[in-house]
Amino acid sequence: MTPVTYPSSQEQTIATGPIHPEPLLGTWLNTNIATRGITSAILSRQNGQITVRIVAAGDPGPSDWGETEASLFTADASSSEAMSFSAFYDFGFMETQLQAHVRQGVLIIAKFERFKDSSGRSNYFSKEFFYRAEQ
Amino acid sequence: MEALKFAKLEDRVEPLATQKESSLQLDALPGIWLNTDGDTRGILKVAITSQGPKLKLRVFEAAGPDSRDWGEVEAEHIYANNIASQLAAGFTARYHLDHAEIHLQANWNQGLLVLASFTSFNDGNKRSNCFAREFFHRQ
Repeated sequence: MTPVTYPSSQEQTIATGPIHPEPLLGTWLNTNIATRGITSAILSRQNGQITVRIVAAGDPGPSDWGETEASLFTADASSSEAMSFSAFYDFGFMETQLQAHVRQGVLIIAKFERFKDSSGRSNYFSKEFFYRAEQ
Repeated sequence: MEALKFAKLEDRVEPLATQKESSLQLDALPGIWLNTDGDTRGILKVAITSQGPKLKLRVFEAAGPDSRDWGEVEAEHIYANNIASQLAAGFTARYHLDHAEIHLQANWNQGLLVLASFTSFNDGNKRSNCFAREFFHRQ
């Protein structure tokens, strides 16, 4: 195996500064109002950190997952505009890795769910689509 | 029977709908996967093999006229495409390269392998952590 000790051609560029979170900040609503998954995602800046708060369909009423830190990503190494984030929730009996990106104004959240209990439920992957709520 | 815990409604299923063993069938994922964009500057090829219940992958990245081998890693976790399915349709994996940590998430859909990569640089250069999504077909 040849060790990788330098960046690829698409990474050999310099960004102009820190990543700007503004393209992601705000409230995003699921395009499917009957979802049994995530109903909304709220991204905000608090004390220099970007956090995401997930609200999911629950019983009874919505299930607020609370806030967790979001890691931001750009479309390429020279960009400073955030267009993607990842976040992680651990509920004890299961954990969820969220990996999201914006494409043509739509936030696509991929959810990787892993069960840690003995329920026999399959770990599974799914995607949901979100639009920006009006300010 | 104790109700199953859930974080959202889609995680709530009848216990009878699940199986005691949650190991997934890996048939859909092993093979050589080639980028649908022959001119990619990102990932050229992914070789996936199964070893028992584990998946191993080897990523080859575009590097001028050649490719660069990132080496073999084991998938961190393997996922079905729904909570009751036993067919593996996605995985996550992580590469710790000298200049960056790269988190890969893949899902198989209608014959395509969709691979998202989240690159976090750790070499002190002023590059932004970046995201890419590429599509692969079987060789």
